[in-house]
Amino acid sequence: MSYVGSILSGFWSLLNGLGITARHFGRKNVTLTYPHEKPELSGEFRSLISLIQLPELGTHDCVACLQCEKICPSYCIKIEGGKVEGMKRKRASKFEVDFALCSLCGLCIDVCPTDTLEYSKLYDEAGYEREWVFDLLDPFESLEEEFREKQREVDAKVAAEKAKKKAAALQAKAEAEAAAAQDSPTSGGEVQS
Amino acid sequence: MNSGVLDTLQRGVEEETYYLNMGPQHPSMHGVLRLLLHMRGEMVLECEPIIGYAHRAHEKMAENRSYIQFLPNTSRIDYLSGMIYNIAFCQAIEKMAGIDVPERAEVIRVIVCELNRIQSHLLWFGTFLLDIGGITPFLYCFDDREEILGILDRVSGSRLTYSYGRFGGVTADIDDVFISQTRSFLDRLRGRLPMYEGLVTKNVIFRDRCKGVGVITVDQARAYGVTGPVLRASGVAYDVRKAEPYGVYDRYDFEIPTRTSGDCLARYEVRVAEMEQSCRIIEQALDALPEGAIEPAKMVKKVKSAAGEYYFAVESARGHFGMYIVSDGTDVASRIKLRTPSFSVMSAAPDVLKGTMIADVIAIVGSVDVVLPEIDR
Amino acid sequence: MLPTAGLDLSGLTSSSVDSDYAVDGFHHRHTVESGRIVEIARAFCDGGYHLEMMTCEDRRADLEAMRLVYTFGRFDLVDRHLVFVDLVPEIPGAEAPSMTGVFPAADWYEREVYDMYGVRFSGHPDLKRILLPDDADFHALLKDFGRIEDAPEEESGERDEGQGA
Repeated sequence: MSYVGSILSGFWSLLNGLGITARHFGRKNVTLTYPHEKPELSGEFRSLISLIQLPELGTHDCVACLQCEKICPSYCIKIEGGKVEGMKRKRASKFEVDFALCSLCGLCIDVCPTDTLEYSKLYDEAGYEREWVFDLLDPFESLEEEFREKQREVDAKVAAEKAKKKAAALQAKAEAEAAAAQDSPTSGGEVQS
Repeated sequence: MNSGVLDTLQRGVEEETYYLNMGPQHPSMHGVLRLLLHMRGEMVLECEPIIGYAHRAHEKMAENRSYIQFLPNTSRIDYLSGMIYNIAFCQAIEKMAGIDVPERAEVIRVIVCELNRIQSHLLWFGTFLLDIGGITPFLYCFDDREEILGILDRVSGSRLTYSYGRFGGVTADIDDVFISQTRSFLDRLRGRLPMYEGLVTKNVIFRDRCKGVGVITVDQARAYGVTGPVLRASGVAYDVRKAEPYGVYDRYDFEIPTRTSGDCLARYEVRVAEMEQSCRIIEQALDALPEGAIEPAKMVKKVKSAAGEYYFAVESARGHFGMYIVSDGTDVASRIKLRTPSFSVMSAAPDVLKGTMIADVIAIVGSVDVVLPEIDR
Repeated sequence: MLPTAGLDLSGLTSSSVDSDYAVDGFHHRHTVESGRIVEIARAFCDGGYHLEMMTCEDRRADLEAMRLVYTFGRFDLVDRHLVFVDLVPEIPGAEAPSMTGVFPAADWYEREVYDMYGVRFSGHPDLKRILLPDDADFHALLKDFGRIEDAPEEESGERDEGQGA
């Protein structure tokens, strides 16, 4: 292209670009002016895990199986718990998550056998210290006591019924043996139960 | 001053060389790359890339964690192709252990991986132009990219580093809102590409800075093992999705854009054309989305495999990404080697950058699209 | 122009077997003596292959060797060759010839193997550390370095992994 021709075509390409930018002047602004406007978090948004309050129990259902602690790749979950006096179900007594280490992989949620973990929507956290350890059982303190009392009652009732049934079965067995022995006193065979 | 002093000064100016450290903190070094340049004036005599500033010992972590615990690491190796690497690792383990994947999960994987590829190319587009000096397109690209990140956030919960794949499927299903959002995004992107064409591709400053700059020949590419858009811009039509189809990529009809000149402009044109091809793949996948489950009935926690060596390769946004896995039969890998495409491209830098001017160094490193965490792992 | 396929490995390998690509991703596996590394690289280069990947495995526990792993492939068709070179580790470390004269790609791969495993390559233009700090006195990917089991007990608020013997 000639010297003048290339100058003109170059200049035209610059004008073209300016025209595109100018057209954007009139359009709606796409910037989200945070913190005056908060973004809408998606339903699946991943943040710190939390225990779900299951409706049928009125509290969480963590049985301290330690599956999530074992599978966490960042070793950020620490659980303590075990058998509770008077109850059949194990319960967790401490569930600490060091959120500074969490990589939001979701393996703990996938592996939980009682499906009691979910992502929370913890969004803007700012602080003055590096400590970012959460105890997930904090919101459940009072609920936990209620649940344990109720569960102890239920377990005690179930145990009592079981004991009664067992006693009845033993009695029936004893009566059956006695009846069989009466029917055939000379038969030296084994008594069928 | 007498002529003797002038002569000495003149000779000093002509012959003096100096060392310039470009990086590791530099707005144009994509990540923490340090280029030690031996220069005379504006001409680069020698270039030595010094890497290792982002080394996070992923391969060592792979030997100390079980396969499923390594899953979050895979997204962080190259965070711009986080979904592609995540799914690639899942596919590698599925091939190794013989785990079946439901068809719907395979198609979902194709869709999200291609969205990830478009997102990576959009970011490259914006930052490449930012490096060269065109500040406007950066925000336009990021606006488009926000749409993709929103779509992927809605389905997986994360914007950049996803742990969306599991062995045997994906974690969450896509719904009608996802499909409609993706379709409207494709329409939007196709409407925006002519705008980018007018704003950038035809711009005289951009063309003068990129045409004929940083030519990488086919022999150089083969000598250094360069793959991806850089290789395709030099003329070799090699794409792992066509050469070794994985997943369900063999169902879809798409082209491999190539150019022959091998300069920055060719690499630019190849990537823009690839965005259009990814749109084609997503459309075909959405049109033929099968029903069904998205993950196996029981979550795979422990991987059972025969001891031996396995290799699995995918086409990431930067090229041929390969995972070499040595299994000793247990649930912990004996060795996982990550063959990343940016490592090969960066090893060609001393050869390519020799004799260029410093402004061209920026254009070449930007056009080649390296991501440092992928080099350093 | 890429050279056409015409691979001649006769007499260079200690063993060559065909491998099932659908199972493990390789078409052929070879074992090569360390003295033949440059010749086999030249054979692959002349046959139109390029060096796809190179790495090392610490197999001192079961094979009593440091195993170098090379992968060669092509751009025009899929034909992946896996090459093992088992080096007997001597004190202070194993040594092998470098293939940078044939494939410049090996330059950085060999530097990484030296950095992570301590394997030296004779004939390498500039064998120095690439990823770890230049003054590091350890080789990171050896099996007896930095195991999680060797990490000291956690102190409050601090994590101290990877500092084992």
